[in-house]
Amino acid sequence: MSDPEIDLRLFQSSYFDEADEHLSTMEAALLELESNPSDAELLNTIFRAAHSIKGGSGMFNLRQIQQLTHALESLLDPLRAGALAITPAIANLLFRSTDLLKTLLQNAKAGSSETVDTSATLAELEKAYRAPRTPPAGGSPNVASPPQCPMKAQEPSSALQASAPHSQRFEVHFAPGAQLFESGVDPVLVVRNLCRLGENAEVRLRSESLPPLSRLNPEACYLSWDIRLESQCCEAELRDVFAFVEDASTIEIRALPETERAQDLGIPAAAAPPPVDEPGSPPPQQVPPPQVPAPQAAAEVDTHPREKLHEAAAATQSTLRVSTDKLDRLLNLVGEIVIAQSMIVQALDHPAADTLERVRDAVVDMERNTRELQERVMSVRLVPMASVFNRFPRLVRDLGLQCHKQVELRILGQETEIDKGIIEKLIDPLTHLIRNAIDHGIESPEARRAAGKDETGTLTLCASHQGSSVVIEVRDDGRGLDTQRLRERGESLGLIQPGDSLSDDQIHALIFEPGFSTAERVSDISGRGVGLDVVRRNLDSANGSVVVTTERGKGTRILLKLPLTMAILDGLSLRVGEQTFILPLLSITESFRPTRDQLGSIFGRSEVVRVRGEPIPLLRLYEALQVVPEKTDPLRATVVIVESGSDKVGVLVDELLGQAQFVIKSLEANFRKVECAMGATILGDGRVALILDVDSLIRRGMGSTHTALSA
Amino acid sequence: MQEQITRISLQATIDAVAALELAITARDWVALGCDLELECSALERIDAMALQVLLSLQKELATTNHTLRLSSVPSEVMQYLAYAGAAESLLGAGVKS
Repeated sequence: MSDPEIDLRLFQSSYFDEADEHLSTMEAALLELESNPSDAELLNTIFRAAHSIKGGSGMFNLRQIQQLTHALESLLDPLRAGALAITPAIANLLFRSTDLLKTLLQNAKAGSSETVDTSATLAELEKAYRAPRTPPAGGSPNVASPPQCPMKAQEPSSALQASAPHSQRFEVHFAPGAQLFESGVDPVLVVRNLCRLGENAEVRLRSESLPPLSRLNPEACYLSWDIRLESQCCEAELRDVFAFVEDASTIEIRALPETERAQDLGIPAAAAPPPVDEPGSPPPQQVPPPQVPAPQAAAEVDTHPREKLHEAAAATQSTLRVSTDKLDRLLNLVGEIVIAQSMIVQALDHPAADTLERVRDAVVDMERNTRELQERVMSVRLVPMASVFNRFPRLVRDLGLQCHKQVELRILGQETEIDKGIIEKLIDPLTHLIRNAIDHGIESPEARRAAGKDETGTLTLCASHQGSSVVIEVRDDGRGLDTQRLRERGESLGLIQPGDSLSDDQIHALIFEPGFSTAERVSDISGRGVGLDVVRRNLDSANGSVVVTTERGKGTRILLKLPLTMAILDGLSLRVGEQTFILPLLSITESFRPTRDQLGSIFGRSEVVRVRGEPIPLLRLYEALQVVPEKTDPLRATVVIVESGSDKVGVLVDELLGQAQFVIKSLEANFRKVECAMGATILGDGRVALILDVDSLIRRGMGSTHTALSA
Repeated sequence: MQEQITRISLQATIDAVAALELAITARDWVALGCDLELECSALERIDAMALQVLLSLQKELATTNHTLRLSSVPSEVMQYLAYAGAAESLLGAGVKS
């Protein structure tokens, strides 16, 4: 890559991550602001978040984001100062602006060239800013701190320059601190970004502090710059370009009076001071216009087209922030493993009487360190559920308003940690479950009052650890599911047959079937039968399960159970014929060799095994997977009972081999999808073993029983 | 008598790490005691540290009345030098004391 912008792209990914966090902060503070409109600190929080987003946007030439955040700041300033009051209209405008900002950031992150029209929101922000001011509390006529770049009444807003440009001449002095290079920032790129905010830029390099080579410390920065340019931006916007270097630099920006401006433009001005020329400094250089791209209106970074795809791919990569302490510990562990490996090699290269003992000790060390390394690497991928839950207060607020319902959201266990990959699969399911709970579950205030309930419904999101699983609960105190209607709907859609013997849980699970809906009306929130199937689909792909419990008139509780991680599985290896299979340990309740009186069948067709009187469908694994078994007689084989939710099946296998941790490899990525398998693993002897998908096994086992029952 | 010029080629990327090496190597060039022309057709990128070394080398050479200039500069590097305000001094005849 020959483009100097490559350095900036490395920072860009971090910028988008940070911007996401700032957006979440803004949204949370806005929600709280609705309940506490007099809390000035909340406004400060929103302002700081908007300002941080703006700072980076200047650096990466994201003009629309810069304009929008700037307009937001301008409105927030009088709000902070008490000169404007927070009204529901302003709160909604701030919410809408945050949404628009989110869209712009998402587009920029994805490298999308889609143009988003921000003019209406910018106009609304300016209109709100220009609204008549109320004197701030305390009666001081001018309490408001000066806005960073006020939308002056006598001139067009800088946030709306696109519609009413007005340029001004600026002089900027930029003297990076001597240590600037240590931060990895290239000051020339900062100068470039500044030049891109205007036109007719003149850059004067100041190198008088630069020593001759014999006395040069190449790691210290000696250069500084004086830049003159014409720009439609205000001083604050220009200053934002220096957001990442301002702490370690001297930055002076001043708007030039007309006389100096006239001189710059070549118009004689007797009063203008002569330009400062220092001996040894190169003359000011006009930055060649063709090489200086004009500021772009679209929310994208100007790069070469062929690099766009690469850039977009890089930008959308999922990232995690990891503390250096954690990384150092990982590095130490790797070091320990390397030492143990060296000890083994040395012991084998120089055989002695104690070689075996030395090798054994080294292997024990290596095993311990490898396990710790694995646990620590896993922990690096764990992120708190708060990162998902934090997005829902806003959703609940908006849906409540839209549906004319009063909903209180309770969030519990947001500190619960879960693998980042799994968290990403949870966002859509939880969103759909919340939409459905508010649209169909929780009743209107009138209906709740009539039912003797509090007018405000409660929606609870709760996360907790259970063994090596995470359980997420979505609970509402609404009207609950109508089991009879679900059944009728399932029959009319052909999902179940009339007369099928199904438990209530099985009927409730129909809501996760594609296209299933009992809604009498279709709203833009839910009811089209589209959406809840994503719950099952995403949970299946994350090796999770979902259970619905409901009580008519009392509410619905949906439990999502997911593994902590998708990379390593605690499993039980077992054998059928010459094949080895793995069952997730979490799904196994017990295993035993059945006695004759435990075995039976339903209507002489489907086999069951009775466990403490409970008939459980028996699935002969060799039949399901079409492998040649060693044992076909259940009295000589072993039955492993596995469960998912309230469903169970007994899996008939030749023998159990042992319990261990297995690294999960994707079958679809490496081979193809295999029925009844959720992945594969490589065993210690190099052979490949299928990891069995318990839900598929249960569906298969239960399916044969249902068929038998309805026969 | 015609002034002796030594031509040296700069290649690939000269960023932080390479700039440190450049600073050391450039001291040997000063010892040559002649004008220097750095041929940049294969130069892909430089950063501010490298630029600073070049300007410092230019200053050092100027103390012995010698010059440094860059030639065949690719457009992207040229653009970088323009933004840095160093294009004229490094592409022209250099600074003579």
